[in-house]
Amino acid sequence: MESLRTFLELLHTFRYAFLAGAAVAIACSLLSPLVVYKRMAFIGEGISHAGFGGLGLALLASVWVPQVSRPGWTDLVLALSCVATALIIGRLSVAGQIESDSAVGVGLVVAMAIGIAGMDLYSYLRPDAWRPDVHSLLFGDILSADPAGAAWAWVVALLTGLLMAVAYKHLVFYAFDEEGALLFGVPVRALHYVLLAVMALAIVAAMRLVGVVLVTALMVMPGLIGRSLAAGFGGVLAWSLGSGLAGVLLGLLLVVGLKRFSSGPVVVLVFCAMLCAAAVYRKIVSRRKQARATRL
Amino acid sequence: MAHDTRAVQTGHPRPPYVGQTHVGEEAICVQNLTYVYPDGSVALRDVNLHVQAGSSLAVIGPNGAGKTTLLKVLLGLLDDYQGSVTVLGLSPGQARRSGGLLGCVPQRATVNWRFPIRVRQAVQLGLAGRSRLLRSHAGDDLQYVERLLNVLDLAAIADRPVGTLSGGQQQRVLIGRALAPRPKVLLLDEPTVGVDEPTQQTFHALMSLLQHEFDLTLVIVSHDLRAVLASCTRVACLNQMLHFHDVPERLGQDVLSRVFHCELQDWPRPG
Repeated sequence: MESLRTFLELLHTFRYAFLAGAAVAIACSLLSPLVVYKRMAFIGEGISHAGFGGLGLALLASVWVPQVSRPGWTDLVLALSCVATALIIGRLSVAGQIESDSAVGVGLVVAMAIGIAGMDLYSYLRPDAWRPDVHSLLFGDILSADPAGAAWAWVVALLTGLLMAVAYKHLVFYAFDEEGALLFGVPVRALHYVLLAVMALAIVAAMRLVGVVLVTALMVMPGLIGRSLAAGFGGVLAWSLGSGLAGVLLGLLLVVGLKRFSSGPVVVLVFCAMLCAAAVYRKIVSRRKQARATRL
Repeated sequence: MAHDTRAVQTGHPRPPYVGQTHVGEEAICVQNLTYVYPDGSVALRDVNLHVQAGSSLAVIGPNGAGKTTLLKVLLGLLDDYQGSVTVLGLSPGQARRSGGLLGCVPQRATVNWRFPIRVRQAVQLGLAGRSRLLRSHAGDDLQYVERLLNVLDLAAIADRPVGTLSGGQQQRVLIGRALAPRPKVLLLDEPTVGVDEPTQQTFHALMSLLQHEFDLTLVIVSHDLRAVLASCTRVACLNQMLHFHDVPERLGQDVLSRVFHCELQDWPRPG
């Protein structure tokens, strides 16, 4: 009983973390099937690393403009750098000037280099000033979420939900046959850029939960779980959303209960277990269908 | 005036469209079309082509002849060309963006067949250009799709995922998708690539049926000389320039040799 009360007190203490986590789960899970079927996982990786670069630039800028170092302003610079990177990658891949994976590969490492160099230079110029916790940046620290962070995450979740609701038919067409969608009057280019921008915002919100390094897991794993369990896209989306919420909330419960792990790795390992279970289930169902067909 | 099959099929008045044509009028008009790619290579040179409404045109030629480029120009995907091109009285881009006048059956290889979508939903995607955001498809459009599924022999497999279909079935799904918005002109790019011989024969019989059933003007780009010559009313032989544009009966060995740069042994003549 004492343990239960302590646990409930912990849940109350970290309620903003759970609220933010649920919002991040919704945003990323809704986008995940599209990321999987359009093979945009590596783009997500590039966008998240651009956030690291944006953070380094924000810290450096704060040497001359101190307001930029405040959390709200830093988050804004981080979001702008992620969205800008997403749109640049989108533009380069559409124009065909450079393969999208090459563009992401270059942007990813350059962004990391800018981020780390910016932080190092900031430390040199302001040796006594506050420095961000690099470990939290890389692997997440959602337990530090505050009301503003949770609100921002819910804005992103609602924006993502709105995009899916408004443009569902067009997004399905875009994912099934992008070239064909263009022929049928679907605004494919606009959809491409809007999807990348919303993806960038979801990644920024997810960075607090799982960090720069592991955010791709949230953009990929729920969609893969959905793909294993459903035959139609609506079912894939529903399973992605359900598994995303379950995975994040279960992961956070473990983080709060165990108290000694970063949030990112725990959440990712929970998703990994769910993905393995979904794959095993799919295999069992497939074998049963084959056995039934053989008997007939 | 061409028989208004649309009103007969659904019982609803035909929606007003720009670009209505009558049998005998020109559906496609290409004049002095020249297209040069950014790298300087000439894809099309001074091509003149006129396609009557209700007819079917086969565009044949070797690899790199400019056939796909011609299709892209007609679809409004390439607009930096020289010359004049109109489709149903509109520019190609306008015709495509209308969401209903111009249909296209692309090559099957460009489609992600592993995407989790069923046959009926894949055909309904053709209505995407006609429907507004947040609005579901109109009832008569959905009824029209059901009729298409029956005509294309897809009704029995309408709830199957497209990834489980054969090549011929997938081809019919793309045709159904292209016909869903009730186009007047249908462009097909290599429609019989990757399908077996019986399916190819069925396909051409199906196209003849659809053309008369839905008042279509067809343009078929194909390597399959035998089939298109047997099923189309006009042939265009293309290799950067238009070497021939007439009825298939007048297509001689000399023209084919000039277009394909080789002797075609026992090339088929329509029986």
